[in-house]
Amino acid sequence: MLRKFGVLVSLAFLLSSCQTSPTFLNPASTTASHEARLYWIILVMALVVFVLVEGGLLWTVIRDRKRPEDIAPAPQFHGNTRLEVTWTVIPILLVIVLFVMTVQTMSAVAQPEAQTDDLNVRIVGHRWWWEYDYPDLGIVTANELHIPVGKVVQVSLESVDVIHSFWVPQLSGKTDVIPGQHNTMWLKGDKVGVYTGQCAEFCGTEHALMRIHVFVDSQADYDAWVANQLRAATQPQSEDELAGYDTVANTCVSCHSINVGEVTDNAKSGPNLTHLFSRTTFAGGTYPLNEENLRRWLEDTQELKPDSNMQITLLPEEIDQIIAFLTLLK
Amino acid sequence: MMVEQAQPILQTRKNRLPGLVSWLTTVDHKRIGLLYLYSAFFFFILGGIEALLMRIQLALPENKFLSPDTYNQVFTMHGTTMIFLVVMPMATGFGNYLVPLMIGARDMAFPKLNSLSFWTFLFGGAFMYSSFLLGGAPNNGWFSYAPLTEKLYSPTHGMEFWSMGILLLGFATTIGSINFIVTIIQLRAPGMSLLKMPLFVWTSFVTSFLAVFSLPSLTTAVLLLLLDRQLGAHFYNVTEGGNALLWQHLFWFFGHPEVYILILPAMGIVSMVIPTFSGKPLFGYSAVVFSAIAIGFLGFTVWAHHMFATGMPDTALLFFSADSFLIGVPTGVKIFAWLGTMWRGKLRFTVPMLFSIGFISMFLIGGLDGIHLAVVPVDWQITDSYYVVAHLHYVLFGGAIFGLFSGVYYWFPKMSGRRLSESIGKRHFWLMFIGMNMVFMPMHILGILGMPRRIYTYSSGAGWDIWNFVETIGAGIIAVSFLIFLINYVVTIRSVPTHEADPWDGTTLEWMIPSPPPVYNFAEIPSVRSLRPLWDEKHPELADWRDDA
Amino acid sequence: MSSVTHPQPMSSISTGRLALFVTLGTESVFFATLLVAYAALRGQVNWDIPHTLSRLTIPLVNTGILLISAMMVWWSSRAIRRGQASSLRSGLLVSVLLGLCFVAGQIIEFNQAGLRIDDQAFGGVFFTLIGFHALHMLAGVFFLGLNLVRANLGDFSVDRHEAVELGSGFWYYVTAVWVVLFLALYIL
Ligand code: HEA
Ligand code: HEA
Ligand code: HEC
Ligand code: CUA
Ligand SMILES: [Cu+2]
Repeated sequence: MLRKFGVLVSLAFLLSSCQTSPTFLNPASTTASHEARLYWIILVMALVVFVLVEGGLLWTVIRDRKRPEDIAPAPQFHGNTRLEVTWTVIPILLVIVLFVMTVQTMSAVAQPEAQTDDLNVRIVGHRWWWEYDYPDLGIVTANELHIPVGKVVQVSLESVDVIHSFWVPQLSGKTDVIPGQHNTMWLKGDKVGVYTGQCAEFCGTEHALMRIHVFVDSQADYDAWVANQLRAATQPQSEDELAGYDTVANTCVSCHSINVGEVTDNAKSGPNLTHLFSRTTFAGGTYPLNEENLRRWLEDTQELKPDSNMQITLLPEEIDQIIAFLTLLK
Repeated sequence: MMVEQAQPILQTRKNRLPGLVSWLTTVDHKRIGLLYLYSAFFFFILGGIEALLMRIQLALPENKFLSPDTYNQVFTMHGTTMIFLVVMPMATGFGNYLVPLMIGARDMAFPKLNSLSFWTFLFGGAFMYSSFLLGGAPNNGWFSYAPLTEKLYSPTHGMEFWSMGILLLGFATTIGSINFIVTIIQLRAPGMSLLKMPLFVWTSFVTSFLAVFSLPSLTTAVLLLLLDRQLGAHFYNVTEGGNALLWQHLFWFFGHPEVYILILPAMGIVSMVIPTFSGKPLFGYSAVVFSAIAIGFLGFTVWAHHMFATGMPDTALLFFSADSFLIGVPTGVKIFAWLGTMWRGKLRFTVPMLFSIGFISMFLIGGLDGIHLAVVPVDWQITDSYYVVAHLHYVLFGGAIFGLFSGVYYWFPKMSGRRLSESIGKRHFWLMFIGMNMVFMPMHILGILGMPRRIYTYSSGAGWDIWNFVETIGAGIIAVSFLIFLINYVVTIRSVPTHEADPWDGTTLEWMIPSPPPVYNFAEIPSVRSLRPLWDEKHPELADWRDDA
Repeated sequence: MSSVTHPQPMSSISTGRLALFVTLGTESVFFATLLVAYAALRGQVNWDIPHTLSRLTIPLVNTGILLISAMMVWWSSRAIRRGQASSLRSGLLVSVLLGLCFVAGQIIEFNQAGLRIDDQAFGGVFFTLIGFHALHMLAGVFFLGLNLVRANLGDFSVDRHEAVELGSGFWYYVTAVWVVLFLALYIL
């Protein structure tokens, strides 16, 4: 059983290092690496305690088995004060060590004072997708967050409905997103890459499909992305595109905003579609975004994401036209 | 399939009522105890089947076995069932049956109240389960965080069933606990001072206090929720001046003491079983008693360690973190005391002993997980992940359930006059032991690999698939082990009773009277001179009261 | 709830009292948590507590009523301890009536307070606290009423009146709770 424990644990970390798992033991930020370091330490501490106690247990089990022949009662000692004091004091020392390490790590990962050149991001939890606002840039997007590498991001977290929790293990631990309470956290990606996570507080039917993709971009890529986001939506040209634009303008904009230049409106209940196709995934970061999936989405949203708050019925030809238009929204 | 009651000669008028009626109307603490135990096992099967359904759904990525909402209903009912309808009533069942026997009393202080609390409990459980047929079970998890539970987000009646069910169960437990407290204070046999009470009595005592002082907080939380949902109040509705975290504080102020309500009785059982099969007195008895009391007090001061990610001020975080660590100290005292008891003993590895040893080693893992979760920065990473699920099953399954099974095998002869088969029992133990480690050990890994709890599906490629598959197999193994237990039960209960009064060479009062005990338990109330009256009788030269004096 | 006959109870305190104390213990946690909810929500809304005497009349009168009833209860239980069954009866009768007056007063007060449970979180707390206390008052009235009936049937005597003591105990408790609520809701 002891061996089983050891084997599984080591296996796990073999795995986590090679696999593309979203694990804080493969950190991409100083925060996560502090947390990882602390975890390794307390894991070793726990293993030591475990081995000692379990060892003592096995030892007695093996040594003190009752032999069938001997019927004399066992020695009847009721306690041993020195021993009992020892095994009260040692844990107390352990507790002190744990506490000190906790304090240290907490201050190491504490949110830094806001600087003028920090990037400010507003993260809004919706059932069941994430809205990302860049108030200073006037960008509103969904499910895929882009941040420049090595830059401090000051995040403010809000919820329009229930409690969610924002978690990207390789970048930072969780912070709950609570209605009526203004929580903050901070991010700083040290390695360029895409880091995944997902909502970590149960928020209803599709809690499982409320996923997070954080793109830690090189400054150049990031600037390009910003520039693109700031463009107004591409204008429809062809027959279909125009037809699609009309349906969208009539049915969809009640929940989605598509900014044709004017100020961004992020008060709507659905993701902003202005640059839909600049994203790689959709529906809470669940499905790869491509024409085929988009068609399935429009044909039967509830099939791809039961209970999703998008309820519409469209005619097949409408769908073709809508897709023709949406695919323009690069 | 009820365990047959007292031997004919000892029967009184009450027992001569026709079988079923006599069970429905009984106020005998032993029969009520058995009713609790049988109902708890029934609910264990339901909760277990729900667990198996979850495991089937999670065995493969993007599995379509359960619909999202069904999955959410199933994990909610699984957690609620296992905590409120399995572990608590099982402990209460043992308490009802054993506490009067162990303190040398004829019954509980308030027998009628006792039966009231059982029937309320049973009705509460049945009421909750009826929701499956009546428009959907509750689906917000066993701690049902507001505001998700508000009508706006949970329109079905699931939450009504859950809330009212909880109120009923809370009421049942409260009056039951009052009964235990009064019984233990008032009805001890002459000479049984508090520090001569068997440890199981002590843990029932502490547990009852925990229940009496923590349940009202849950009652308040649930009442406020019902007022919100039914009368349009706004306690948890932030847009109208409500507070979203109020629920969490009220719930966890109950919720953490609750987890010690779940574990202490099992610890009491282990503290009875280990000495018997080590042929020694419990090592450091008073230290173990006071550690139980300490755990009880500390248990009321750590609730917010379930809320580390809610954005509390650092000072609060550190306070609750440090306090949670501290609970490790008295718990350690217990674990070491059990080792000290086995040390240089004459160990007999009967099935009850195996389960108790299993308890020590599995609970140890769960406890150390608990310490990990109490380390704030680490908890920010592993809270609400499968790491928590691993922790709670190591303490609840590896701990509470193993301890309770140890009790089942240990006292079954007293309750039925028959021993469960040792050979079948050993198979049950080993399969359950292997199975549970296969299910719950990989959950640590999944938590570390970033898998959140309460998700009905996941995509492959995150390295989660294989571990989930292993877990599902493990769950199957546990299920098989439980079926083996059921077989053991049926085989044994059909066999001719041997009526051994003292099958295990026990040392406490319950082993001095026939198996099963007569309605009035003790023909004459024994008088007690030490912690182990029966041992004193068997070994006058080594009697405990000699070195007490 | 008849307590099982047993050689000698281990403690000096009577079984009934013990049960009552534990019960009141759990009740206290219940009211305490409600008050915590009140404190938590009160911070979040601007609701001015009516300090003006005119607004305080009914609560003050009610408080008076309750304190007097408590005294009557005390007087009646002292009476039975001295074997004066008749004073027990009259004492209980008065207390029951005063208790009912109090509840009536609370209902009026609640309408006057101009709060509805669905007004705002605060209205809910106010409603809940006063409501649950009123329920306890009714329970107390029932308890005393029962004793009154039994007193008229001559159930009680110098050495057989535990129910009276328990009833009084419960009544003192609900009175004390009211004093706390009064301070919390109207004064602080
Ligand atoms: C039987 C029930 C039980 C028990 C006994 C415990 C025991 C402990 N639990 Fe656990 N806990 C749960 C049931 C239980 N828990 C449940 C059900 C949840 C999940 C609720 C939910 O979200 O659904 C939970 C969740 C939970 C959390 C919240 C996790 C999260 O959601 O983020 C935390 C955080 O601190 C925690 C801590 C602890 C600690 C410190 C102990 C300690 O009591 C453990 C003490 C034991 C030891 C430490 C081992 C033995 C000691 C020694 C060998 C001595 C030497 C060691 C040291 C001093 C370090 N538990
Ligand atoms: C005592 C408490 C207890 C026990 C014993 C168990 C037992 C088990 N639990 Fe559970 N569990 C919890 C308490 C418990 N659990 C709690 C509190 C939660 C949190 C819920 C929440 O998040 O709200 C939880 C959550 C939980 C989850 C996470 C769900 C999620 O977050 O999405 C999972 C996932 O695998 C799980 C699995 C299991 C398994 C496989 C078992 C196995 O041990 C089950 C063993 C199987 C059986 C015992 C089957 C017996 C029945 C048969 C063999 C059939 C016989 C048939 C007939 C006789 C007709 N549990
Ligand atoms: C009733 C409101 C509503 C209407 C009307 C609506 N949507 Fe949606 N839509 C949503 C919501 C809510 C989501 C987020 C669903 C989720 O991920 O859970 C969404 C998501 C989407 C997405 C995925 C966006 C992303 O990045 O995840 C697309 C594309 C989309 N809708 C297109 C449309 C089109 C085209 C129409 C009109 C034909 C439309 N929607 C009408 C509410 C609506
Ligand atoms: Cu959002 Cu879970
Ligand atoms: Cu806890």
